[in-house]
Amino acid sequence: MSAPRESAAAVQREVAQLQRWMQHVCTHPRGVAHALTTAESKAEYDVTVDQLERLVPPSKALSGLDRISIYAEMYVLRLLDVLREDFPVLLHALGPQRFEELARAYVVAHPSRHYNLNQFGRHMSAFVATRDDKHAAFLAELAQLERAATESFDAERADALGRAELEALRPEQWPALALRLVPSARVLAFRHPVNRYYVDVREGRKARIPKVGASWTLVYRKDWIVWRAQLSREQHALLEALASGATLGRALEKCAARTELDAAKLQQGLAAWFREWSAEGIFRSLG
Amino acid sequence: MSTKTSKQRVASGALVAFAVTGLMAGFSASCASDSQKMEVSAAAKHACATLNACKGQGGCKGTANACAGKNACKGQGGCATCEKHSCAGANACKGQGGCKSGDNGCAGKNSCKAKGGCAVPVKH
Repeated sequence: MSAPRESAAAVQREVAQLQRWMQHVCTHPRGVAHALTTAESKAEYDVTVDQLERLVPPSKALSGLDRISIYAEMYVLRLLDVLREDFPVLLHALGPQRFEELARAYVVAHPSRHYNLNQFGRHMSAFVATRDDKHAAFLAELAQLERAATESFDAERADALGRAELEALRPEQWPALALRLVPSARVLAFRHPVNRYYVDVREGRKARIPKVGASWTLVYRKDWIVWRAQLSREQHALLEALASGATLGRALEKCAARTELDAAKLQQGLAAWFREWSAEGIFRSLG
Repeated sequence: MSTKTSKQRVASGALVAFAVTGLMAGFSASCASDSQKMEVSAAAKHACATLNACKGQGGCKGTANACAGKNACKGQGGCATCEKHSCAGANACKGQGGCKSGDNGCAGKNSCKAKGGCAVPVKH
């Protein structure tokens, strides 16, 4: 290898090393000064805070630490923005200050590990549930609903069940029909009326943290828009059975056998429910 | 016992028939007019639940939202990523308003105003 080429390769290695180091210290949830003490940082450049300006020279007005901290703080603030975007009703419920405290703690507990920022909030519901808050159970469910909307929005596209597929089946094949939900569908059960609270907030009505009261919600995407539909206990049981892999006949048998479900409501509602679900495209193509 | 099982099967068969009838009717409904669709959905569903990626992009009003126009990410499980991930790195935010909001890393820091620290990483 010629000298200029060797030199260029050395520069590339140095730049790559610098990038790895800078990414680590700028994305460390505890800040630059702490990041410098970690093994990952030392593996690239073993510098203390006092020695940092060997790598990041000061400007006329800012120290090296100040300069690089701008990017480190921006990184965290953008993650907070992501959480605000993904959990606007949780933000409303907690208020800006408590939400920021929660979000900052979340960034430390669950650093972003995936290039897709839609993944970032996936632990929020479980995280909220562990917080010392008298409404933690409700807030965790609220986060679960908002998380479901993000997942639904981001879910892989799939063709919906079509008329021709169903018409190709003989009636004796119907009970064995395996209706699967499209990837964007989420069938949710809550101990609180979460969706009602959500709707109140989104529509600008005064909303108080509700008392315990079971509720069920379907979240799905149609034509690139995320929807939420309130479900009855019977609708939820049926969709949950189908989502868990039961055939149509088995799912209906299971629901009919459940004493807590209203058999009359089940029988009377079936055609209308399946009509709407079919129209909304929540069942996946059989192909 | 066998009679009971037989009755159960008949009942179950009826339920299956109701369900399939509904499914078939739904295929027609999906081709129905928007007003019919709204009648079904308006009461309990709310579009574009939480998605800031759609904000101001018309994404809550129809199919031509911020993502629908991005063929590269359509239905690939990365729709909102196109919006959000583009802001993950400082440089990607240049000209995207990343330094304009009140609570981001630059705007709140008077010390970095006009110092070149915001827009150009590690420029000495």
